Amino acid sequence: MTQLTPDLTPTEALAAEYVLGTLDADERASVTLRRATDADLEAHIQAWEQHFAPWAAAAADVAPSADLFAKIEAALPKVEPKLSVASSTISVANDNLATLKRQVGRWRAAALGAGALAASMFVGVGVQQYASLGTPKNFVAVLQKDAGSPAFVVSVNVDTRALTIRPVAATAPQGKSYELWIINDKIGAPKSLGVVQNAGFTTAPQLKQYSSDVVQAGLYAITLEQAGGSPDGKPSGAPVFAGKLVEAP
Amino acid sequence: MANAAEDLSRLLSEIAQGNRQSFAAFYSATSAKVFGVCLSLLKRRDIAEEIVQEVYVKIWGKAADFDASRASPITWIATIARNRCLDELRKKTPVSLDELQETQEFAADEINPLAGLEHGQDLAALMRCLNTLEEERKQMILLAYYRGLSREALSQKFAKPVATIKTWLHRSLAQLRICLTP
Repeated sequence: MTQLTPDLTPTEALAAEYVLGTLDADERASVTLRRATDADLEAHIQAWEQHFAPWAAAAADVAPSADLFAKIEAALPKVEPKLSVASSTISVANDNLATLKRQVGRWRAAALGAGALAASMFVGVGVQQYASLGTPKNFVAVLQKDAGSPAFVVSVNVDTRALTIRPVAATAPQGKSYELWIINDKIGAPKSLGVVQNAGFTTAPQLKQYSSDVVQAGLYAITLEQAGGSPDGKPSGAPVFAGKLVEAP
Repeated sequence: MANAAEDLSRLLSEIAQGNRQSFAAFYSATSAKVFGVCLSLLKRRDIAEEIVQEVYVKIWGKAADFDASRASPITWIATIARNRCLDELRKKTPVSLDELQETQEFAADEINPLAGLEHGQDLAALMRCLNTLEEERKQMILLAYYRGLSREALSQKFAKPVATIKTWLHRSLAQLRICLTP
């Protein structure tokens, strides 16, 4: 036996099985969403991808049908490639974006001024919007792809588990919908919180079925789905935006 | 072979600028590999082609994300395709015994030695580490990687409970990691 081999940590084992391919559908969907904001998991996935890279490159070649390339060309979007993928199919309203960036700047300044921990801007860090109102059960998360592109603001009252989300700089492309998910180990696969309207506030009553600690610790992620949302209740791809709630200072 | 990787990297940077000719050249240089990866997992040509189509449309928009310091272009696209095909494979109902019969044993020499030339030393190291595993576990890892067998399918194949398969997987992967980490 191999008693001397140290065990993999749970995160390593998850990453290794993800790359090897042995996870079930729910586990894969969960990893796909989590890796966008979980740097440790992402690093382990990349390490395992490198371990197995020689096998990926050494898979036997098989020519696809001759007409496949014509189909691919026909399916290419007509716009610039940078705007064509799910992760960037965002028509950014620059004025809104600039406004949000300014707001974020103010929130940071306020947090610093209060002597609280400064919330540095990176994926997953939320900013408490209502600190000055003295409502400690209200949390806010900025869902974003990277530090420079906040796209949705989520606000949650952890006691009542009432959630509202509004787009700031994101509009779903024609024929597509943005769908909000909550991800937490305690609830297994990512769970849908519904489709997000392109404008104004959307509420997500689905959140009420989860416990307060899941609501508070969960990762909130947005995927781009077919119009009306994912048909099978599972995210169809990686999140385009994600973030976590942070408590008021 | 390093030149092939450089050529593909150059094509990817041109694709990122919206160059369709480079896209066509990249497709003709990589599609047999990508289709081979997907077909070995999905078994059905029609489904595999659908996913390959989706993968290349994605590459058209994502070419700018390619990072040559992290992976070779072929590994990059093969990994994207593998992940997408595994997602598709797992969407289907649990593996049937009929389907399982088709997977049979996986012979390590099925791995295309020429295509792996670019990864010659790495491939040799990976195979050497794989060979430190007991025969059944070696088969298990290869069937998972190249045939997409889930824990449940492996459990049927090796007539062991799923929990045992999970333990085998984790031990085997831990052993591989030790062997592969310099």
